[in-house]
Amino acid sequence: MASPQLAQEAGPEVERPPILQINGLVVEFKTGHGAVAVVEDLNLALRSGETLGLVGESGSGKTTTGLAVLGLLPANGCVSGGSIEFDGRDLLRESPASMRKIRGRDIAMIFQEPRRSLDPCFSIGDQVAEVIRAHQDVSRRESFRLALEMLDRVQIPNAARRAHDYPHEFSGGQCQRVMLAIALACKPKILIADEPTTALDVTVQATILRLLADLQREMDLAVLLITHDLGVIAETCDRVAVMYAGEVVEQGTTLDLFESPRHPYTSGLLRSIKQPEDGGNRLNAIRGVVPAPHEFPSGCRFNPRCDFVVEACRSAMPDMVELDNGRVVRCIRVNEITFEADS
Amino acid sequence: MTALLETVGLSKSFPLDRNLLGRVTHHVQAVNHVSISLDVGETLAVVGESGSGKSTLGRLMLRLIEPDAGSIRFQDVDLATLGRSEMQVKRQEMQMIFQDPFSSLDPRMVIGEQIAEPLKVHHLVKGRDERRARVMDLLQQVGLREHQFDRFPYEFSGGQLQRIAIARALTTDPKLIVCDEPVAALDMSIRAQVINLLHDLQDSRGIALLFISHDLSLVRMIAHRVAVMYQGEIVETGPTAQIFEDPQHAYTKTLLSSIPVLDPRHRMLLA
Repeated sequence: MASPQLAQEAGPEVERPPILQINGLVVEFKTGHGAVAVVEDLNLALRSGETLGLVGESGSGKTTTGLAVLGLLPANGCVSGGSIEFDGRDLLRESPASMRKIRGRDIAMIFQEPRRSLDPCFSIGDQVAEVIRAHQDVSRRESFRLALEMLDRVQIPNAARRAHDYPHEFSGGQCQRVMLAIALACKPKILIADEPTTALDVTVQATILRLLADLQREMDLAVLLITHDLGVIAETCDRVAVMYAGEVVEQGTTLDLFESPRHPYTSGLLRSIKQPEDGGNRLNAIRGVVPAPHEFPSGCRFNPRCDFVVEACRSAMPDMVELDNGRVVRCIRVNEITFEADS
Repeated sequence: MTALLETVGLSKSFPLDRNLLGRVTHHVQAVNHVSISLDVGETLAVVGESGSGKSTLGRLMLRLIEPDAGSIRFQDVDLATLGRSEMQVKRQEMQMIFQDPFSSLDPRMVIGEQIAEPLKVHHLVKGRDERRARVMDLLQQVGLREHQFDRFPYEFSGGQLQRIAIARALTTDPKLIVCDEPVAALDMSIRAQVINLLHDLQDSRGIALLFISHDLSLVRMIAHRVAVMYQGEIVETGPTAQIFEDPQHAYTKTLLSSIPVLDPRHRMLLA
């Protein structure tokens, strides 16, 4: 089995064809304010064995992107443009029946609140076995045996005995392990992990992230990690896409992005969570407020909060500017402005 | 220098289970013999994981819940000796900000009136006009505009609501504010703004902050001293730099080694 280490620097020479390719994705929600585009012109590529971080604030469209890939948008949301290609198939053209086969078998997702994603009325062994029976032609007994194997793999102690217990008998961290067992039971090619450790304590978070990295290596899994925590990104991701107000504003290798951010939002965000250079206690805050989707400003959506704004920023949405090493930045001034290096 | 607030052997347990006769058969020791002190104008961070008792400790300090044992001295007064009305007067000096401003503000009351409520309760101003003037002044201090007085909470973002909660805490000119995870529910690009606001207010008014948080990276940047809680006890306390650079207790070490590091070159968790 191929076992790519979590590459510190994803060099261009290891290019494998992406397993998931999103091009120009637009997702709209019907709201009281009319149709609102909560994801706009989103381009992402995800390769097997790689972890791509999708980082942004609440309402930036990162969860919506994950749900769009799985065809799980809520009733008032729809994809109104672009394509989502999985292994050469456009998921947006698949029928609901074939999407149901793809979900769980090829692409799986785990969520922030593991306990809320589990059914309180069934034992966890049954819940892992259920997804196995849904996608594989195996007997009830065999599915339960496979479920035990999976629970063992996610390091639930005493899996054979614990499989008969119910979600309320497990801690939050253990519930997330069970969710991982369910998600990975059918050996999917892609895992979408939406804030998988946000509800957990830091010590538990560390063990879950380690487990996820181990399983990823064993299974050559592509992981789309959705989070608002830049620390988690720095620890786990090969590449990062930073979302703001429905758009990807910057994308690149984790190393490049953390060491030399090129978009003012990325730079501001990183500065705001680091010790100020002058050693004082006052943090480097980004001014202004996060806009609600129905009041996204025209032009660059970050322009009201940007320290480098010029008149042209307010007129048209900037195009993605391609730089070296796979970096793309949505800023018209990307080649004019520099941020002081802080490493 | 005498401490602004000092607790000695503070303990609190909660019942978990009762038998047929209503007697408590199991209980959880939420706070166990905690003795800490807080100086004027100081930021003391209480860190720990969920269930470690840090929020209970914050509530005990304001006597929002009664301790089972131990004492709390605030400005050299033993809070346990105060009666109900005396305690209410004392509370002017000690305020609290909660994690979720959406639920700590009344959705049916305009924000100006909510900020004014402590002024009414404590009879701090005479008449409508003076009250309104004081609220306008507070709104400005927390970075909001005067015309927002008559708006309802749903018209604000999370960060603005937390500013409103801070303004309300400031009305009585407190010497201590217990901040229970004040930025955990806020968007990340807004957190630094609210932290800076608290910092500026501390500077200008000499307020002591008891900063309850699980965000160790943030605590490292803003606290003067840190107390680490684990299962109801304070396992280690000291100046921030010392705790982070030279932790002594095994739990502190575990906690610190679990924090994701913001440097992709030096990964700790997956190494």
